[in-house]
Amino acid sequence: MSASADTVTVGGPGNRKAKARRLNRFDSPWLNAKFIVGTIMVVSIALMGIVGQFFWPVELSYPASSPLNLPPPWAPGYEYIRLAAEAEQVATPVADAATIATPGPAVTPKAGTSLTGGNPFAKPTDAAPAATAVTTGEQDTSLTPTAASSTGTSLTGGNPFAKPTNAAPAATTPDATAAADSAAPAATAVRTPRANPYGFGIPSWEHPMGTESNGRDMLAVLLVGAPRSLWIGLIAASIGMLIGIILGFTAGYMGGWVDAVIRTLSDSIIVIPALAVLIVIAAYVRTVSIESMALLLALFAWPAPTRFIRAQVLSMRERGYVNMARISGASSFDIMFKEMMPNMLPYLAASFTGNVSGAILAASSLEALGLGPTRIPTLGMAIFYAIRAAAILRGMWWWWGPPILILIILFTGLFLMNIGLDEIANPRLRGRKAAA
Amino acid sequence: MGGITWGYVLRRVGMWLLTILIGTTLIFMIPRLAPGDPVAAMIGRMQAQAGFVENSAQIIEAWRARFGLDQPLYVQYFNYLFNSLRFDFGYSLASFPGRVNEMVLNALPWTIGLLSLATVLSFIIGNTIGALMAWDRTPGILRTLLPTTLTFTSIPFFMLGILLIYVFAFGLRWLPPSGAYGRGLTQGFNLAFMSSVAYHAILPAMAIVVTSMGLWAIGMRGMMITTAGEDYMILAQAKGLKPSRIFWLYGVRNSILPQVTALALTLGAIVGGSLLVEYIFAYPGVGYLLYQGIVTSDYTLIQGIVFMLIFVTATAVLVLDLIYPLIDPRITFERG
Repeated sequence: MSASADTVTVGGPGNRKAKARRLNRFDSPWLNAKFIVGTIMVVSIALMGIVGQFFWPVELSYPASSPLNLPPPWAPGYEYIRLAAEAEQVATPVADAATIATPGPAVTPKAGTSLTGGNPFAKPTDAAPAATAVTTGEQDTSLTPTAASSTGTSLTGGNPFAKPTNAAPAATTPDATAAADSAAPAATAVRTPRANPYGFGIPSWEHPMGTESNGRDMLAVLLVGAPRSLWIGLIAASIGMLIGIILGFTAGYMGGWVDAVIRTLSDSIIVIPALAVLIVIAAYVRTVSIESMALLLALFAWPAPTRFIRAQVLSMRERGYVNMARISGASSFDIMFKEMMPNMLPYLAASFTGNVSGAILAASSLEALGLGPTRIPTLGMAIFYAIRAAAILRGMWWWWGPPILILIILFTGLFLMNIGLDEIANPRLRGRKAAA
Repeated sequence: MGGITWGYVLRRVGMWLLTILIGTTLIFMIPRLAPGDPVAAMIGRMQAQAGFVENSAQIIEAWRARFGLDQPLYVQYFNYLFNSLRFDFGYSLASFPGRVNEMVLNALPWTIGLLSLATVLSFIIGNTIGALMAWDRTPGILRTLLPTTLTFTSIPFFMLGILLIYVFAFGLRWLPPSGAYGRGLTQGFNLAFMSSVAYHAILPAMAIVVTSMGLWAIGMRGMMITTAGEDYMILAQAKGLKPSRIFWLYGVRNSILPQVTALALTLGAIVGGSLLVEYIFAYPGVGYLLYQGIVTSDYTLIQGIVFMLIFVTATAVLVLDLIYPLIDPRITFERG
């Protein structure tokens, strides 16, 4: 955020020192601060996904692989019940809980521990790690039956409000906490949650970015989702750009009725609110994969580059070197793609970054409406789940905050690249015109 | 100094029709490309949600007759086109006796009000910022402060909306997090209701204004730099005109014209982005209605809303294009 503000001032008018330095030592327009910073931001997001999967198990991004952050913080009396259940869990040996656990839908005290396992502060106790051991792969053999039963119940009977009726009778009485306080290990286990009574799924050592209501680890969701967003944008923008280059060059170079048709078509389509039509399509054809989503977005990614490239080609068509090539007998194809296109590369790159950004925006918008691929974790779907669960007004910032932050970094990076490339292509934008 | 010629108007109206035609065709084609009978699929989805739909066979028959699904495709298409152009979108699937056009028309004023206010505000503020950024006589403090206003430029509307809700509605509790007016107020032109509407519109409007003004500022800065090098600017300075006069009537006046074209081109994107703002803020406009349509699989509602959005956007762009000669007398419209 501050980086973008800084870089806008750098290279802006009045920064004579920077300009002087550029003239002296770094006289390349490609050493544009905005462009470099933007590139670093975008590449770091891509690297985060590629490198991150070696440091953090990405399987945790699937539902029910991590503790839930339910119930809502204001659930009346829940904190009290939870404390009681924890006290009871610590008081009874793990082996006992395993023997008590009976097959079938009946929620046993063990279910209580698996549910309170959603609280990261319960981790130091004996039984709680068993709930996550299945997913992290550090499963202890002695705890296998416990882990199996606890995850089983957490998947099916994961309703925390079922606990008051089914948990051990002692847990529901006020005496439970008092009784637990007498035991030394229980006292420490109980006191920690009291410091933060609403600590469901908040970031902890086990889950650095917290967890969400479907039992996804947010760090894993970010690691999986961030590169996917970039990937969608790249595919959609590449297709759009390709169509744009073909149509734009054809229209600008050919002129005549071809130009009229292409221009009218792109001018008409650019007016359509693309997101609205994409919503209709996505609502009917529920997208299941990242690639089909990208193809969908490419449907509306071509009119803007077409318009832009056509305008550029029109301005270049009568330049000297183009006329020279024409007189020399170069074919239209050669003139278009060997003479004109290399001169337009910075413009094309600027347009491309803008397109990537637009495609990512459309993708995350569709996902935020719940129309994205539901089986694959994406940043937009994380935002959708957060909004649906009213996470904003529950203060669960770790749920919607990091996905938005990453998308903002991505958008800002692409945006900086865009204006940086614009300045590279168009020297007038770099600073004040000297002769004014 | 040509003004509007009939050829230009006809061409623009033709493009307006083409835009609506393409949009309508897309909306028509998509359900038919999806596998299965659309009506049966709709009823199936209704059953999946309601468990049992009373008289589903009769509903299917009625819908088939309504859609004319036994007729050839081109007849269906022209019927659909004709019905759409009369704003007849049929009945809502989720709230059955309700007609789609009534629902949309109830929601549309909220959207148009919020959107036009926010767009005009961001256009004015953004262009002023951009012009000041490229202006010689801008004070030094402003020159360093102005670029910071562009920080939010690249953020999507709805993401800033979430942040705004968290800060101003959840954290500081200054502004309401959702809705368009306070509960228990009757709609009407009384002071309590109007002030409540204004109070509730601050956050959504802010989300749109803050994020979209940066784009205007950047475009304006580029145009201003170009304009500042023109001969008439030097002449104006040589004549000793007041700087404010040079700034507004010579600089901004001549730089703003491409910005109006840019407004026409980005209006579609702004409309799309504001749909999500309404969804985030539960603002009772078409965006929120659209979300409800998605949630309840109300396909007639979704189609009706999207048609109306395309129609309104295309019309707004048409109006912008037609008033363009009023602000740019250089354009004669003789050239195609």
